[in-house]
Amino acid sequence: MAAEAEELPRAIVRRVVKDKLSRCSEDGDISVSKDGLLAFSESARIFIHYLSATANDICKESKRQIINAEDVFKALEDTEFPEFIRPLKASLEEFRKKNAGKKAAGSKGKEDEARKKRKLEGESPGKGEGSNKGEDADKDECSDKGEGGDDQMDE
Amino acid sequence: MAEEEENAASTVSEFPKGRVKKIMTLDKDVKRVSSEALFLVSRSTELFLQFLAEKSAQVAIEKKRKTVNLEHIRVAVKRHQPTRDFLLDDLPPPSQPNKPDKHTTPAARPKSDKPLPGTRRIDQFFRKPEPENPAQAEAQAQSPIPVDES
Repeated sequence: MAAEAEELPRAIVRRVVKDKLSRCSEDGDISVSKDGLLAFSESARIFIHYLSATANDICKESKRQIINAEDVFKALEDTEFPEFIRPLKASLEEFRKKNAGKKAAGSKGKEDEARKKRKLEGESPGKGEGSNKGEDADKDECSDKGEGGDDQMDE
Repeated sequence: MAEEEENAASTVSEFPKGRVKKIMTLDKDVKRVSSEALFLVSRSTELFLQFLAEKSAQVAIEKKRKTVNLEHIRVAVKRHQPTRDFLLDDLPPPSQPNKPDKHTTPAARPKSDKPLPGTRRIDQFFRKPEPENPAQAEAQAQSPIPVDES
């Protein structure tokens, strides 16, 4: 099982890269070599680490426990990828709308579920999660519910 | 422009959430992340991949090649300061025995002391030695590493 789990799925990396490459040339006939794909995959993984570490530091500076959307936006500025911010904000809006719909449908059920899940993970609900209070839109800690069995969440 | 809008407003990321989170939390300092933040990290990574792919394709085209390879990616990384800052050292070295990169590296990285807020050097995350070539990288990727959680 090993380290494969800590890499991004190669098929997906290939798809993202190839889709973009096909739009880069007039003939759409640019492809990517095997070592190139590996490098893309590694690069993406390292980027995740880099961005997360930066966002984490920003989060900690604000004395919060949970990395939120704003932390990521600030991290993108700090790591000098500000050009991503605007498209990401648009994506985030859509993401929030989508989840608002879900929430409206079963908000109470979801809260209960979240509480149950936290208990299973060995945390009590009222355990100093004050950071959540002021962040209405972003209080959902990712819970992997719709993951379809991809993997467990271990904390 | 239409396809950019399509990309920008994507509500799903290609990458599986669990996998992205797992990679993030390999860093023991990173423990908890909101679903929005996880979504944004995933999407950012896609955008980054697209960005890198585009830059690499430009290099390949310059060299009159139809296939983007490691060298094209390396050149693309070198040309873009923010990417070079965190990525250049971690790409597999070129296949030639001499490493011209080493000479240019000190001069090309005046920002090595740049005070990003508490950002750690990325090589802290990586325990495994630099592979000589992609084949080795593959073999090494399959050997168990300490943080393995089965």
